Amino acid sequence: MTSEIKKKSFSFSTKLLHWLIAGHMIGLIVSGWWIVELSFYSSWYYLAPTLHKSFGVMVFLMGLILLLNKFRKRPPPLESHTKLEKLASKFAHLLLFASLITIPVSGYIFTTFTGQNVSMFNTFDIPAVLVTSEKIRDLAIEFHIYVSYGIAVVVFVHAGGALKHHLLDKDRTLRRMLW
Amino acid sequence: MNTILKTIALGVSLSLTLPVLTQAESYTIDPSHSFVKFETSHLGVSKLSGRFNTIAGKLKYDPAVGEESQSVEVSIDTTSLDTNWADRDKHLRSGDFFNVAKFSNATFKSTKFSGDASGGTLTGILTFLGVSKNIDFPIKKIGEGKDPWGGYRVGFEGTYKMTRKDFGMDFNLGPAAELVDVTLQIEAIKDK
Repeated sequence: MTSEIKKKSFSFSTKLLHWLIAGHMIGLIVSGWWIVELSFYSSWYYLAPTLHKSFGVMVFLMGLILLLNKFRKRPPPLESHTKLEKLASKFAHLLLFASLITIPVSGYIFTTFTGQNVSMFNTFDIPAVLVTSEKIRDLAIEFHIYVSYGIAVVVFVHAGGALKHHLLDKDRTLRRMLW
Repeated sequence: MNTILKTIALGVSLSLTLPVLTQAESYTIDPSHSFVKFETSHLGVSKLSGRFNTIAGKLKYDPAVGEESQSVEVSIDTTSLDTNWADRDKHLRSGDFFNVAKFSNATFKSTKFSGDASGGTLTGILTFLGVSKNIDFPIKKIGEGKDPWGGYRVGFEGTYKMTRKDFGMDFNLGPAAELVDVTLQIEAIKDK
């Protein structure tokens, strides 16, 4: 690997966070869809929401660091990318970052509404500190559901774009996020 | 002749019934001192209770006039349900239970009362989750009297044992939680 290529690659921490967050997001969206269907007698009835919240907090923190990385040490887009591609990817990234922050916050708002803490993997608690109104609580619930499913579509577009660059354009777009 | 008799009869019956209708004192439910609570078994181990924070209604109460003068009308805002646990409230508000997005109100309108000044049986129509059912339950007066601020108050309490699935609420919570005790504990202030 030449240093020129390396310069155009993402930093190690960005790559690590990117793939960890990707795994978390898919897991959280799928588990959210599954949790609301759990029966009262499912052995996951208590554990699954606790894990969902714990991983949600993790993805929020990782999202913040990734956002910092984006401003600190982000390689420029490849020269081969068209103007439209740059614009589209910018827009998709904006949505993905916004969701990384707002979806966990909306979850925190309605889950701590009556003052109960968020248990992190049943080991320690994140205290309930936001005091909101019922209107905000209801809005947060709707937001959490619809934006999560909406962002699933953006994830597909984002991954599809990367695959298109890798398989059709045969450029380094995907590879520079891998190594 | 016949019509004259009929008119007289109507006049007499009206003069007998009108005072009854006008004399029944009407009261307005004081939402700050009224509670609609629900309680059911948790796994047969303990009990779970919750309440609705927003209710409104009117009642007529005048034991001197008789049973037919007593009536009550309560409207419950089901979106205001509160079991002191946000995650559970969220689930209870969903389509699995109260479906508040579709049915934000439950109402009870009494049609008959049999008993005396201290209480009796209240019969009426409960509309909940879009299902209207004729129900009856015992009710007793807790007390009545002047308050320190120039008003006159009366309080009642009654519990209706509801079979959830009669109203289409059939989410499986186990055999111990098929029945829910719904308690109406209301205080009302006499209208001026």
